[in-house]
Amino acid sequence: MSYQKGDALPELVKDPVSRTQLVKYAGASGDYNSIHYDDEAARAGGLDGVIAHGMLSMGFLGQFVENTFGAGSYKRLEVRFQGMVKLGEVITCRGVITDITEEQSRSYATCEIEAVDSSGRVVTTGEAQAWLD
Amino acid sequence: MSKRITPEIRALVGRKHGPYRLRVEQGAIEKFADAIGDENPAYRGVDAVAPPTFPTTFRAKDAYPDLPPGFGDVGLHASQVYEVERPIRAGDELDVSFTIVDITEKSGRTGDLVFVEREYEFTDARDGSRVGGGKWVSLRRFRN
Repeated sequence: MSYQKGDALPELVKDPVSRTQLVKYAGASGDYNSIHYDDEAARAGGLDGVIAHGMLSMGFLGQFVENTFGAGSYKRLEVRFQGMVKLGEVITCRGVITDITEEQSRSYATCEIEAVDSSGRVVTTGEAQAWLD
Repeated sequence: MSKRITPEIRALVGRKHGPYRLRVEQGAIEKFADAIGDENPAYRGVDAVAPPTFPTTFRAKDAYPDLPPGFGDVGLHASQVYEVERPIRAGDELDVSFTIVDITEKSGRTGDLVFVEREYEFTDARDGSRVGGGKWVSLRRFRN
């Protein structure tokens, strides 16, 4: 597969975020911040209710990048968490190749990536680098 | 002017935690991929590759330098970076450490925000070579 600057990556549309998924992610990641599973705790912190772990949306973006370039291909992933993800939200990951760089006889793609919710609002945005060979 | 950052909190800057040694477990990788809803077979089995954000599971068992519990109304995540020199795999033994590199505050629309920036390093326990690292910026929000 050959890639070029400007290529769009195949979108990844995730299943709706469920409370069960957040509990699984809390256990698997070790992040037990109660705003991710307990509505009362979330409201006490000034939120409307439970929100997803930011790292879950970054995990979706990691899945998106390695779906495209292969497992173990990622070199660097950098994101900013811009919006909160509520229960039931459907997240879509999308991105575009902004550069291809040669480094020590290998090459890697740099991509702008983002996770958006069902209303098109960007919740997590950043940059990925992944080896092409 | 520091409204929220007391000298005690300021003194956290430069504090290093670790290194502590951990073994990357196949089961932990599989559970992590399951939680994300990622069915890629490369993240399963005895030779499983770790998904990109797997290092978020590298948590110290003992207390580490941090803002005191209850500081602010809620703790949130601002930004995150992971980078690797090679894929992390099941069976890897890693030495993990992090350092608090900066603590800053600003007044936002909804109240004061205090940001903590940490840098990570992961090295291979066998030979000390660098496996990767990252940057984690978390925030505590004080509502107006």
